[in-house]
Amino acid sequence: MFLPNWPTDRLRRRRGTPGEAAILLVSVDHGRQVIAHCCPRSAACGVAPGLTLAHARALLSACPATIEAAHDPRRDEAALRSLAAWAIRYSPLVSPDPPDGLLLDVTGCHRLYRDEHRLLDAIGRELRRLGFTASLACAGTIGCAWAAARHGGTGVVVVLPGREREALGPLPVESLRVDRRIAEALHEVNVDRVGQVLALPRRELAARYPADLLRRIDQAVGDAVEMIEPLRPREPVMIERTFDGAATQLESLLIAGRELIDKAAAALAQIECGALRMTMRIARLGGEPAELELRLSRPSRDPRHLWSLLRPRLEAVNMHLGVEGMTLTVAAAQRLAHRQESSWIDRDSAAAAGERAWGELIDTLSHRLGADRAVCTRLVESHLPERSTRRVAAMDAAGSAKRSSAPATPVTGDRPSLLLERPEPIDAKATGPDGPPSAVRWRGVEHRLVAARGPHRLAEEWWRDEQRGVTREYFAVQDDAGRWLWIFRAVESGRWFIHGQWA
Amino acid sequence: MEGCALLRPTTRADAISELAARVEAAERRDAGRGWESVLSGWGPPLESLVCGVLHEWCGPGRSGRDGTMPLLLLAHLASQALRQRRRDRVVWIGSARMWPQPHALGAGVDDGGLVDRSLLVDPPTGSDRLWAIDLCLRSPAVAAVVADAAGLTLAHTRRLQLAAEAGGALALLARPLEDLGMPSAAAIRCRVECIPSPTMRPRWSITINRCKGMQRRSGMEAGHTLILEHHRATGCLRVPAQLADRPAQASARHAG
Repeated sequence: MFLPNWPTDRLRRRRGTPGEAAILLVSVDHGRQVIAHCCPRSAACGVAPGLTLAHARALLSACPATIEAAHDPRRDEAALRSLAAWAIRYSPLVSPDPPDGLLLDVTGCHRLYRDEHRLLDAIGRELRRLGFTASLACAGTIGCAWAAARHGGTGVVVVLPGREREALGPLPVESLRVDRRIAEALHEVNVDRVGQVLALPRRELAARYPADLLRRIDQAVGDAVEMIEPLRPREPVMIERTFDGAATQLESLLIAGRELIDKAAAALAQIECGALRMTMRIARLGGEPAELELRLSRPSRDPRHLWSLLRPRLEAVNMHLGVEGMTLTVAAAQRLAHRQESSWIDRDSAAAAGERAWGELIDTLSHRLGADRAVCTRLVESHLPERSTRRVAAMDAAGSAKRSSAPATPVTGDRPSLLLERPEPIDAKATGPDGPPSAVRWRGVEHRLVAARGPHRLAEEWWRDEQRGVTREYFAVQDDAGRWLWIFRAVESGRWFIHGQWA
Repeated sequence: MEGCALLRPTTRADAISELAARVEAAERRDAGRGWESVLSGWGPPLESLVCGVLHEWCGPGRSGRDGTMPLLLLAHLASQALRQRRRDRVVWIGSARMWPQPHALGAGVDDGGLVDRSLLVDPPTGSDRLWAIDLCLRSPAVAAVVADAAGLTLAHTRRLQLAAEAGGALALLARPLEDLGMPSAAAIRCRVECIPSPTMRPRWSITINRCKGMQRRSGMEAGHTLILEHHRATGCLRVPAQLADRPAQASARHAG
């Protein structure tokens, strides 16, 4: 399977851009911006890899839209791996063939589609639907299929077993997967087609060209064995326990639960992962199966911790007429490297232990009280007091901190330590049109004000959509008991509100 | 108790000082652990706050809708604890309307203050709150626990005292003013009041209402009053500069 426009198709699909926009992938070579890949549309305008970006822009000036992005081969390769995982639906043995191909061992699979043609048609149709241009070929050897997919013309090519030599004959020598220098050396002596190479005596070839050429020829025609290294899909850790007859005692449920957790922890240790989300499914007699979901703030495979989270949930399960079986699935896992136990406490291991204990504390609190009742504060880039912070569930904070970019800069200035949920209206006895009041009445209590700082004017953020056009004038005022309050006047309406205090 | 048999003090004065030291250690309940005091810069009396025991702060308001924790004071103490201990997390436990704003947590201070290191917990019921305080006090990751402790009974505070001893975090309990007379296992109980300030900064007066086993060590005694002022630029609470209206006793101590 050959994907000629893989990098640009991938970008187009990811950005959701329409087909008529031209895509240029740019890489920097010796300080010049050079086109690394271009889509067929820009190629039709004369753009080719190797041109400078400025040249390409000039060629594409007639194009309605152009997208320029940095060329990122590593991302392309990662995406190719996910496409390989997608292709497992057609064959159990799939291997990505970077930079722009996939290898599928469809031995036996074509029967499901009656023949190879229909199988390849089905794959091609699905790939087109996903937005990828692909040319597909099926042959008895990897080398032959590779050559036919890239150089065998458009559409689907199927090479029957034993006919590799005839199929390869008219193809250019590049299709043998040889080094560019070997291909050029062959062109120099007027050998352009594979058929011509095959006609040459082997001894001559071995004497004049690197051994790689002979190896590739053998692989293409089927004289040498070549295996594909299939992608192995990772199976989620799933542990099951079926009871011998329905269990009606809570103790047996707890013992089995503990056993499942221990087994899951051992399985996770084997693949060097820690669980982030686990699901416990309990099949009950005379009722729907119960599902318990555990979420963790940090990956963990500590059976003690996992059990401390699961146990209270298990105890609360309604067992109906009895429990027939339990299944524990690790729904999400993250890599968690093995740590060497050290016999003395150094700085790193103490920090790691502290971090682990912190994660366990967050998990335990969130599970008993609810995730929204254990939160962290995140600063938001805004000068309005009610918008300048965001509460993030501590459960998600560890992950989101990694994703978010630079933290917002806190507002400088004098802000209170405690903010009311929303500003509360107060009755104010104002001294003048612009100054702070001399006394306020808040929650039925009269406060005489003895000192004030301000005003500090805050306007609505004009770049937001939902503008109400409110400007506030804030004063920090001290009442006669010594308490500092933060009050403001809505400039438009002239009404007074209290918004916080220095507690 | 084997110390009685092993040690044979030679003089009467030695014997008395040895016994007094042991009584003090027993009262402070941190014998042998060597927890250092967490505070500096406030003059001797309050510098002897130690980790592993409960500290109660009553006031400044009464309970109910207007009740608040003395957030700036507690944030200052928590950040001091952070500086002393090798742990770097603070948990605030109380209803969501009492949670501190980032400016109280030192946002804008050079090291980012407590903003990223604070966990805010809002337990729905009283028993959940007690459980959460207990759990956080026992966690080895937590440097300081700041909790709303309104309405805790003597038994509750004993349970928390045991948790604080086990975990070794700085335990700060905020209580409303009317809890001042309630029995409790806390080592130190202070009364916090807002007082009018001639400067434009918030000020509090802190009166030590009782302190168990602190007298010998630091000269801390009940009835001692300290005045603190919030300093905006650093987010700290400080003893205000020498002013005419300060109590004579405090200034004498500070000078010494």
